[in-house]
Amino acid sequence: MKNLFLFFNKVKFFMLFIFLQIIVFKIIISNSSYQQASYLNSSASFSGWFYTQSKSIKDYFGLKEVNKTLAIQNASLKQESFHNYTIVSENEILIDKEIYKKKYLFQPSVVIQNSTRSRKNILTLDVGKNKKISKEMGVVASTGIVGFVKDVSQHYSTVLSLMNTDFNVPVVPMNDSCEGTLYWDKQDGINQVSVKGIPNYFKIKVGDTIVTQGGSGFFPPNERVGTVTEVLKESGSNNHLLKLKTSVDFYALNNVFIVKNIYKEELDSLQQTIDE
Amino acid sequence: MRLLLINIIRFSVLVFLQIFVVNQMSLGFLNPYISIVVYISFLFTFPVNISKYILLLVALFLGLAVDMFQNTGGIHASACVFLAFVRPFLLRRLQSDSPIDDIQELNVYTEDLQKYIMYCFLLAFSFFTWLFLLEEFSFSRIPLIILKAILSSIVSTSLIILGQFLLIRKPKKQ
Repeated sequence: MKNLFLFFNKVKFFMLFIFLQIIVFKIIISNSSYQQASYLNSSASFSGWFYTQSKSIKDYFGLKEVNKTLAIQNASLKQESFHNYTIVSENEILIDKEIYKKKYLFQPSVVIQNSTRSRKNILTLDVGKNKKISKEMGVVASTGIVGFVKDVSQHYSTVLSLMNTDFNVPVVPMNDSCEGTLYWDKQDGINQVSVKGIPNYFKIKVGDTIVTQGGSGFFPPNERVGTVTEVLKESGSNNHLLKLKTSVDFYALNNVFIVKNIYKEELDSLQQTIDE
Repeated sequence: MRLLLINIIRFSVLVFLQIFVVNQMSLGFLNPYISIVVYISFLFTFPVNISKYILLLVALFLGLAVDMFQNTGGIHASACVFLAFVRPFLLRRLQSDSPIDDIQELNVYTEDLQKYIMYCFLLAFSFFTWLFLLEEFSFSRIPLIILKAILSSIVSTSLIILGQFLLIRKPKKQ
Protein backbone atom coordinates (compact mmCIF):
# COMPACT_ATOMS: atom_id res chain seq x y z
CA MET A 1 0.00 0.00 0.00
CA LYS A 2 2.81 2.35 0.90
CA ASN A 3 4.51 1.62 -2.40
CA LEU A 4 1.31 2.40 -4.23
CA PHE A 5 1.11 5.82 -2.60
CA LEU A 6 4.74 6.46 -3.37
CA PHE A 7 4.07 5.54 -6.97
CA PHE A 8 1.12 7.92 -7.18
CA ASN A 9 3.20 10.64 -5.62
CA LYS A 10 5.80 10.13 -8.32
CA VAL A 11 3.37 10.32 -11.24
CA LYS A 12 0.96 12.92 -9.92
CA PHE A 13 2.20 15.55 -12.38
CA PHE A 14 1.53 13.16 -15.22
CA MET A 15 -1.88 12.31 -13.73
CA LEU A 16 -2.88 15.99 -13.62
CA PHE A 17 -1.72 16.35 -17.23
CA ILE A 18 -3.86 13.38 -18.31
CA PHE A 19 -6.81 14.67 -16.30
CA LEU A 20 -6.67 18.12 -17.95
CA GLN A 21 -6.28 16.55 -21.39
CA ILE A 22 -9.42 14.46 -20.79
CA ILE A 23 -11.36 17.63 -19.91
CA VAL A 24 -10.08 19.38 -23.04
CA PHE A 25 -10.89 16.40 -25.25
CA LYS A 26 -14.44 16.43 -23.97
CA ILE A 27 -14.68 20.06 -25.08
CA ILE A 28 -13.10 19.28 -28.46
CA ILE A 29 -15.50 16.43 -29.13
CA SER A 30 -18.56 18.44 -28.13
CA ASN A 31 -17.38 21.15 -30.51
CA SER A 32 -16.52 19.03 -33.51
CA SER A 33 -20.04 17.91 -34.34
CA TYR A 34 -22.22 20.77 -35.37
CA GLN A 35 -25.46 19.24 -34.11
CA GLN A 36 -24.39 19.61 -30.50
CA ALA A 37 -24.38 22.88 -28.66
CA SER A 38 -20.90 24.24 -28.15
CA TYR A 39 -20.09 26.86 -25.60
CA LEU A 40 -16.57 27.80 -26.52
CA ASN A 41 -17.15 29.95 -29.57
CA SER A 42 -17.09 33.51 -30.75
CA SER A 43 -20.88 33.84 -30.74
CA ALA A 44 -20.47 34.39 -27.01
CA SER A 45 -21.24 38.01 -26.27
CA PHE A 46 -17.81 38.62 -24.69
CA SER A 47 -15.68 37.80 -27.72
CA GLY A 48 -18.44 38.94 -30.04
CA TRP A 49 -18.21 42.43 -28.59
CA PHE A 50 -14.45 42.52 -29.18
CA TYR A 51 -14.86 41.41 -32.76
CA THR A 52 -17.53 44.05 -33.38
CA GLN A 53 -15.14 46.75 -32.19
CA SER A 54 -12.30 45.51 -34.37
CA LYS A 55 -14.69 45.15 -37.34
CA SER A 56 -15.85 48.74 -36.99
CA ILE A 57 -12.24 49.86 -37.49
CA LYS A 58 -11.47 47.44 -40.29
CA ASP A 59 -14.62 48.42 -42.20
CA TYR A 60 -12.95 51.55 -43.53
CA PHE A 61 -10.35 49.58 -45.41
CA GLY A 62 -12.85 47.40 -47.26
CA LEU A 63 -15.24 50.11 -48.45
CA LYS A 64 -14.03 49.99 -52.04
CA GLU A 65 -14.64 46.25 -52.39
CA VAL A 66 -18.03 46.47 -50.70
CA ASN A 67 -19.12 49.28 -53.01
CA LYS A 68 -18.17 47.24 -56.04
CA THR A 69 -20.16 44.17 -54.99
CA LEU A 70 -23.14 46.32 -54.02
CA ALA A 71 -23.08 48.03 -57.40
CA ILE A 72 -23.06 44.68 -59.19
CA GLN A 73 -25.89 43.45 -57.02
CA ASN A 74 -27.89 46.61 -57.63
CA ALA A 75 -27.47 46.23 -61.37
CA SER A 76 -28.74 42.67 -61.33
CA LEU A 77 -31.71 43.63 -59.19
CA LYS A 78 -32.51 46.53 -61.49
CA GLN A 79 -32.66 44.19 -64.43
CA GLU A 80 -35.37 42.20 -62.71
CA SER A 81 -37.44 45.27 -61.98
CA PHE A 82 -40.96 45.37 -63.32
CA HIS A 83 -40.38 48.38 -65.57
CA ASN A 84 -37.86 46.51 -67.67
CA TYR A 85 -40.49 44.12 -68.92
CA THR A 86 -42.64 44.95 -71.88
CA ILE A 87 -45.90 43.36 -72.85
CA VAL A 88 -45.32 40.68 -75.44
CA SER A 89 -48.81 40.67 -76.85
CA GLU A 90 -52.22 41.78 -75.77
CA ASN A 91 -53.51 38.25 -76.07
CA GLU A 92 -51.22 36.77 -73.44
CA ILE A 93 -52.94 35.33 -70.41
CA LEU A 94 -52.29 37.27 -67.26
CA ILE A 95 -50.91 35.03 -64.57
CA ASP A 96 -52.26 35.84 -61.17
CA LYS A 97 -49.39 36.88 -58.91
CA GLU A 98 -51.14 35.20 -55.98
CA ILE A 99 -50.15 31.73 -57.14
CA TYR A 100 -46.56 32.54 -56.13
CA LYS A 101 -45.91 32.53 -52.44
CA LYS A 102 -42.71 33.54 -50.77
CA LYS A 103 -40.69 30.60 -49.47
CA TYR A 104 -37.32 32.09 -48.51
CA LEU A 105 -36.64 35.21 -46.52
CA PHE A 106 -33.23 36.90 -46.51
CA GLN A 107 -31.81 38.51 -43.39
CA PRO A 108 -28.89 40.84 -44.18
CA SER A 109 -25.92 40.68 -41.83
CA VAL A 110 -22.25 41.58 -41.56
CA VAL A 111 -19.32 39.19 -41.14
CA ILE A 112 -17.44 40.43 -38.06
CA GLN A 113 -14.88 37.65 -37.89
CA ASN A 114 -13.59 35.51 -40.70
CA SER A 115 -10.92 32.84 -40.61
CA THR A 116 -9.18 31.21 -43.55
CA ARG A 117 -6.27 29.58 -41.76
CA SER A 118 -7.51 26.41 -40.18
CA ARG A 119 -9.08 23.24 -41.59
CA LYS A 120 -12.32 24.04 -39.81
CA ASN A 121 -13.01 27.65 -40.63
CA ILE A 122 -15.87 29.39 -38.89
CA LEU A 123 -17.31 32.87 -39.41
CA THR A 124 -19.07 35.11 -36.91
CA LEU A 125 -22.05 37.25 -37.90
CA ASP A 126 -23.54 40.23 -36.09
CA VAL A 127 -27.12 38.92 -35.85
CA GLY A 128 -28.51 36.27 -33.52
CA LYS A 129 -31.67 35.25 -31.76
CA ASN A 130 -32.73 38.91 -31.71
CA LYS A 131 -33.37 38.62 -35.48
CA LYS A 132 -34.95 35.15 -35.14
CA ILE A 133 -31.89 33.33 -36.47
CA SER A 134 -31.78 29.68 -35.56
CA LYS A 135 -29.41 26.76 -36.15
CA GLU A 136 -28.95 25.21 -39.59
CA MET A 137 -30.08 28.19 -41.61
CA GLY A 138 -28.18 28.69 -44.85
CA VAL A 139 -25.91 31.69 -45.40
CA VAL A 140 -25.38 33.17 -48.87
CA ALA A 141 -23.48 36.13 -50.21
CA SER A 142 -24.65 38.06 -53.25
CA THR A 143 -22.46 35.87 -55.50
CA GLY A 144 -23.04 32.43 -53.99
CA ILE A 145 -23.35 30.21 -50.95
CA VAL A 146 -21.17 30.70 -47.87
CA GLY A 147 -22.20 28.11 -45.25
CA PHE A 148 -24.81 27.49 -42.62
CA VAL A 149 -25.44 28.64 -39.07
CA LYS A 150 -23.78 26.50 -36.39
CA ASP A 151 -24.47 28.26 -33.10
CA VAL A 152 -26.62 31.22 -32.13
CA SER A 153 -26.46 33.54 -29.15
CA GLN A 154 -28.55 36.59 -28.36
CA HIS A 155 -26.73 38.99 -30.70
CA TYR A 156 -24.24 36.88 -32.63
CA SER A 157 -24.10 33.67 -34.58
CA THR A 158 -21.30 31.44 -35.85
CA VAL A 159 -21.35 29.98 -39.34
CA LEU A 160 -19.80 26.74 -40.54
CA SER A 161 -18.22 27.98 -43.75
CA LEU A 162 -17.68 26.10 -47.02
CA MET A 163 -14.00 26.07 -46.07
CA ASN A 164 -14.66 23.54 -43.31
CA THR A 165 -14.07 19.81 -43.53
CA ASP A 166 -17.38 19.19 -41.71
CA PHE A 167 -19.40 20.92 -44.41
CA ASN A 168 -21.30 19.11 -47.11
CA VAL A 169 -24.37 19.88 -49.13
CA PRO A 170 -26.09 18.37 -52.21
CA VAL A 171 -25.33 20.24 -55.44
CA VAL A 172 -26.24 19.88 -59.14
CA PRO A 173 -24.75 21.25 -62.34
CA MET A 174 -26.76 24.14 -63.72
CA ASN A 175 -29.53 22.94 -66.07
CA ASP A 176 -28.90 19.29 -65.20
CA SER A 177 -30.24 16.94 -62.58
CA CYS A 178 -27.36 14.68 -61.51
CA GLU A 179 -26.82 15.21 -57.81
CA GLY A 180 -23.38 15.32 -56.23
CA THR A 181 -22.06 16.11 -52.78
CA LEU A 182 -20.04 19.22 -52.17
CA TYR A 183 -17.29 18.97 -49.60
CA TRP A 184 -13.96 20.56 -48.70
CA ASP A 185 -11.16 18.13 -49.27
CA LYS A 186 -8.07 18.18 -47.06
CA GLN A 187 -5.91 19.06 -50.05
CA ASP A 188 -8.14 21.92 -51.23
CA GLY A 189 -6.97 25.47 -50.71
CA ILE A 190 -9.06 28.47 -49.85
CA ASN A 191 -11.71 29.32 -52.48
CA GLN A 192 -11.51 25.77 -53.78
CA VAL A 193 -14.00 22.95 -53.13
CA SER A 194 -14.63 19.42 -54.43
CA VAL A 195 -17.75 17.63 -55.64
CA LYS A 196 -18.07 13.86 -55.60
CA GLY A 197 -20.81 11.44 -56.58
CA ILE A 198 -21.73 12.59 -60.08
CA PRO A 199 -21.67 9.53 -62.44
CA ASN A 200 -19.25 9.97 -65.32
CA TYR A 201 -21.83 9.40 -68.06
CA PHE A 202 -22.92 12.95 -67.37
CA LYS A 203 -20.76 15.18 -69.50
CA ILE A 204 -19.19 17.91 -67.44
CA LYS A 205 -16.70 20.38 -68.86
CA VAL A 206 -14.30 22.84 -67.32
CA GLY A 207 -16.13 26.13 -66.84
CA ASP A 208 -19.55 24.66 -66.03
CA THR A 209 -21.45 26.26 -63.20
CA ILE A 210 -22.49 24.22 -60.18
CA VAL A 211 -25.53 25.33 -58.19
CA THR A 212 -27.33 24.18 -55.05
CA GLN A 213 -29.98 21.52 -55.39
CA GLY A 214 -32.24 22.96 -52.73
CA GLY A 215 -33.65 19.69 -51.48
CA SER A 216 -32.21 19.91 -48.00
CA GLY A 217 -33.95 23.21 -47.31
CA PHE A 218 -30.81 25.08 -46.21
CA PHE A 219 -30.42 26.99 -49.44
CA PRO A 220 -32.81 28.06 -52.18
CA PRO A 221 -32.35 26.00 -55.36
CA ASN A 222 -30.13 27.41 -58.12
CA GLU A 223 -27.93 29.37 -55.74
CA ARG A 224 -24.44 29.58 -57.26
CA VAL A 225 -21.65 27.52 -55.72
CA GLY A 226 -18.77 27.82 -58.16
CA THR A 227 -17.34 26.97 -61.54
CA VAL A 228 -15.57 23.76 -62.49
CA THR A 229 -11.79 24.14 -62.85
CA GLU A 230 -10.80 20.48 -63.11
CA VAL A 231 -12.60 17.22 -63.95
CA LEU A 232 -10.95 14.17 -62.35
CA LYS A 233 -11.98 10.57 -61.75
CA GLU A 234 -12.96 9.48 -58.27
CA SER A 235 -10.74 6.53 -57.37
CA GLY A 236 -12.51 3.17 -57.18
CA SER A 237 -15.78 4.25 -58.76
CA ASN A 238 -17.35 5.47 -61.97
CA ASN A 239 -17.91 8.93 -60.65
CA HIS A 240 -16.48 12.30 -61.48
CA LEU A 241 -14.41 14.16 -58.94
CA LEU A 242 -14.84 17.84 -59.69
CA LYS A 243 -12.68 20.66 -58.41
CA LEU A 244 -14.49 23.98 -58.22
CA LYS A 245 -13.49 27.56 -57.74
CA THR A 246 -16.05 29.09 -55.40
CA SER A 247 -17.95 32.08 -56.72
CA VAL A 248 -17.58 33.72 -53.30
CA ASP A 249 -14.16 35.08 -52.38
CA PHE A 250 -13.63 33.87 -48.83
CA TYR A 251 -10.74 36.25 -48.28
CA ALA A 252 -13.07 39.22 -48.75
CA LEU A 253 -16.38 38.41 -47.12
CA ASN A 254 -18.36 41.36 -45.85
CA ASN A 255 -22.09 41.38 -46.36
CA VAL A 256 -24.00 38.12 -46.32
CA PHE A 257 -27.63 37.05 -46.09
CA ILE A 258 -29.07 34.41 -43.81
CA VAL A 259 -31.72 32.33 -45.56
CA LYS A 260 -34.85 31.62 -43.56
CA ASN A 261 -36.88 28.85 -45.11
CA ILE A 262 -40.49 29.37 -44.08
CA TYR A 263 -41.39 25.73 -44.70
CA LYS A 264 -38.27 24.20 -43.14
CA GLU A 265 -40.12 22.91 -40.07
CA GLU A 266 -42.75 21.29 -42.21
CA LEU A 267 -40.09 19.64 -44.38
CA ASP A 268 -38.17 18.37 -41.36
CA SER A 269 -41.22 16.87 -39.62
CA LEU A 270 -42.23 15.15 -42.87
CA GLN A 271 -38.75 13.71 -43.34
CA GLN A 272 -38.77 12.53 -39.73
CA THR A 273 -41.96 10.54 -40.26
CA ILE A 274 -40.25 8.83 -43.21
CA ASP A 275 -37.31 7.88 -41.01
CA GLU A 276 -39.50 6.34 -38.32
CA MET B 1 1.86 40.56 -5.75
CA ARG B 2 3.74 42.57 -8.34
CA LEU B 3 4.62 39.39 -10.17
CA LEU B 4 0.95 38.34 -10.28
CA LEU B 5 -0.09 41.71 -11.70
CA ILE B 6 2.62 41.61 -14.36
CA ASN B 7 1.56 38.15 -15.41
CA ILE B 8 -2.14 39.02 -15.61
CA ILE B 9 -1.35 42.03 -17.83
CA ARG B 10 1.00 39.95 -19.96
CA PHE B 11 -1.70 37.28 -20.34
CA SER B 12 -4.31 39.72 -21.66
CA VAL B 13 -1.88 41.66 -23.86
CA LEU B 14 -0.56 38.50 -25.50
CA VAL B 15 -4.04 37.08 -26.18
CA PHE B 16 -5.09 40.45 -27.59
CA LEU B 17 -1.98 40.61 -29.80
CA GLN B 18 -2.58 37.09 -31.04
CA ILE B 19 -6.24 37.62 -31.96
CA PHE B 20 -6.27 41.15 -33.35
CA VAL B 21 -2.80 41.57 -34.81
CA VAL B 22 -1.07 38.29 -35.58
CA ASN B 23 -4.19 36.43 -36.77
CA GLN B 24 -4.99 39.24 -39.20
CA MET B 25 -1.65 38.91 -40.97
CA SER B 26 -1.51 37.00 -44.22
CA LEU B 27 1.56 35.22 -45.54
CA GLY B 28 0.26 34.70 -49.08
CA PHE B 29 0.96 31.27 -50.50
CA LEU B 30 2.67 30.19 -47.26
CA ASN B 31 -0.59 30.53 -45.33
CA PRO B 32 -1.45 26.81 -45.20
CA TYR B 33 2.07 25.91 -44.01
CA ILE B 34 2.87 28.50 -41.38
CA SER B 35 0.71 29.54 -38.49
CA ILE B 36 2.19 32.19 -36.25
CA VAL B 37 1.48 31.84 -32.56
CA VAL B 38 2.97 34.39 -30.17
CA TYR B 39 0.78 34.03 -27.09
CA ILE B 40 2.73 30.93 -25.97
CA SER B 41 5.50 33.38 -25.03
CA PHE B 42 3.54 33.72 -21.78
CA LEU B 43 4.33 30.10 -20.95
CA PHE B 44 8.00 30.52 -21.96
CA THR B 45 8.55 33.40 -19.55
CA PHE B 46 6.37 32.02 -16.75
CA PRO B 47 8.30 32.22 -13.43
CA VAL B 48 10.20 29.06 -12.51
CA ASN B 49 9.67 29.30 -8.78
CA ILE B 50 5.91 28.82 -9.18
CA SER B 51 4.74 25.22 -9.01
CA LYS B 52 4.49 23.31 -12.28
CA TYR B 53 0.98 22.20 -11.32
CA ILE B 54 -0.19 25.80 -11.38
CA LEU B 55 1.50 26.21 -14.75
CA LEU B 56 -0.63 23.35 -16.14
CA LEU B 57 -3.83 25.04 -15.00
CA VAL B 58 -2.74 28.46 -16.26
CA ALA B 59 -1.88 26.91 -19.63
CA LEU B 60 -5.36 25.40 -19.79
CA PHE B 61 -7.01 28.79 -19.27
CA LEU B 62 -4.67 30.51 -21.70
CA GLY B 63 -5.54 27.97 -24.40
CA LEU B 64 -9.26 28.19 -23.70
CA ALA B 65 -9.16 32.00 -23.96
CA VAL B 66 -7.57 31.76 -27.40
CA ASP B 67 -9.94 28.97 -28.45
CA MET B 68 -12.92 31.08 -27.56
CA PHE B 69 -11.86 33.78 -30.01
CA GLN B 70 -10.63 31.57 -32.81
CA ASN B 71 -13.45 29.00 -32.78
CA THR B 72 -10.88 26.22 -32.65
CA GLY B 73 -12.93 24.30 -30.11
CA GLY B 74 -10.25 23.34 -27.57
CA ILE B 75 -7.23 22.26 -29.60
CA HIS B 76 -5.16 25.26 -28.50
CA ALA B 77 -5.98 24.48 -24.86
CA SER B 78 -4.84 20.91 -25.34
CA ALA B 79 -1.59 21.97 -27.02
CA CYS B 80 -0.91 24.54 -24.29
CA VAL B 81 -1.36 21.94 -21.58
CA PHE B 82 1.03 19.68 -23.45
CA LEU B 83 3.58 22.50 -23.66
CA ALA B 84 3.28 23.13 -19.92
CA PHE B 85 3.77 19.42 -19.34
CA VAL B 86 6.98 19.33 -21.41
CA ARG B 87 8.47 22.52 -19.95
CA PRO B 88 9.80 21.20 -16.60
CA PHE B 89 11.70 18.40 -18.38
CA LEU B 90 13.31 20.86 -20.80
CA LEU B 91 14.16 23.23 -17.96
CA ARG B 92 15.98 20.49 -16.10
CA ARG B 93 17.94 19.62 -19.23
CA LEU B 94 18.85 23.12 -20.37
CA GLN B 95 19.51 24.69 -17.00
CA SER B 96 21.74 22.20 -15.32
CA ASP B 97 24.65 24.51 -14.41
CA SER B 98 22.96 27.56 -12.88
CA PRO B 99 20.58 27.61 -9.91
CA ILE B 100 17.13 28.41 -11.24
CA ASP B 101 15.07 28.60 -8.09
CA ASP B 102 15.48 32.30 -7.50
CA ILE B 103 14.76 33.43 -11.06
CA GLN B 104 11.53 35.39 -11.35
CA GLU B 105 11.04 34.86 -15.05
CA LEU B 106 12.80 33.36 -18.03
CA ASN B 107 13.50 35.83 -20.79
CA VAL B 108 16.25 36.74 -23.24
CA TYR B 109 18.11 38.79 -20.61
CA THR B 110 18.07 36.36 -17.70
CA GLU B 111 19.28 33.37 -19.74
CA ASP B 112 22.10 32.50 -22.05
CA LEU B 113 20.68 33.55 -25.43
CA GLN B 114 21.69 30.46 -27.39
CA LYS B 115 20.23 28.14 -24.78
CA TYR B 116 17.09 30.23 -24.53
CA ILE B 117 16.45 30.11 -28.28
CA MET B 118 16.88 26.34 -28.21
CA TYR B 119 14.49 26.10 -25.28
CA CYS B 120 11.86 28.25 -27.04
CA PHE B 121 12.21 26.37 -30.30
CA LEU B 122 11.79 22.94 -28.69
CA LEU B 123 8.77 24.07 -26.71
CA ALA B 124 7.19 25.69 -29.78
CA PHE B 125 7.90 22.56 -31.81
CA SER B 126 6.16 20.29 -29.30
CA PHE B 127 3.26 22.75 -29.16
CA PHE B 128 2.81 22.87 -32.94
CA THR B 129 3.19 19.12 -33.44
CA TRP B 130 0.44 18.47 -30.89
CA LEU B 131 -1.72 21.24 -32.37
CA PHE B 132 -1.48 20.07 -35.98
CA LEU B 133 -2.00 16.42 -34.99
CA LEU B 134 -5.24 17.41 -33.28
CA GLU B 135 -6.25 19.60 -36.17
CA GLU B 136 -5.82 16.82 -38.74
CA PHE B 137 -6.92 14.11 -36.32
CA SER B 138 -5.05 11.44 -38.27
CA PHE B 139 -1.55 10.04 -38.48
CA SER B 140 -1.69 9.69 -42.26
CA ARG B 141 0.05 12.95 -43.08
CA ILE B 142 2.84 12.91 -40.51
CA PRO B 143 5.59 14.30 -42.84
CA LEU B 144 3.48 17.33 -43.71
CA ILE B 145 2.60 17.88 -40.05
CA ILE B 146 6.30 17.79 -39.07
CA LEU B 147 7.18 20.20 -41.88
CA LYS B 148 4.44 22.59 -40.84
CA ALA B 149 5.50 22.33 -37.20
CA ILE B 150 9.17 23.08 -37.99
CA LEU B 151 8.37 26.07 -40.24
CA SER B 152 5.83 27.47 -37.79
CA SER B 153 8.15 27.08 -34.81
CA ILE B 154 11.02 28.84 -36.60
CA VAL B 155 8.86 31.82 -37.52
CA SER B 156 7.03 32.01 -34.18
CA THR B 157 10.20 31.59 -32.09
CA SER B 158 12.04 34.34 -33.96
CA LEU B 159 9.07 36.68 -33.54
CA ILE B 160 8.85 35.89 -29.82
CA ILE B 161 12.59 36.42 -29.26
CA LEU B 162 12.52 39.72 -31.18
CA GLY B 163 9.43 40.78 -29.28
CA GLN B 164 11.11 40.07 -25.95
CA PHE B 165 14.15 42.15 -26.95
CA LEU B 166 11.83 45.01 -27.83
CA LEU B 167 9.26 44.83 -25.05
CA ILE B 168 10.96 43.51 -21.92
CA ARG B 169 13.06 46.01 -19.98
CA LYS B 170 16.67 45.07 -19.52
CA PRO B 171 17.34 44.35 -15.84
CA LYS B 172 20.04 46.42 -14.14
CA LYS B 173 23.24 44.66 -13.21
CA GLN B 174 23.59 44.13 -9.48
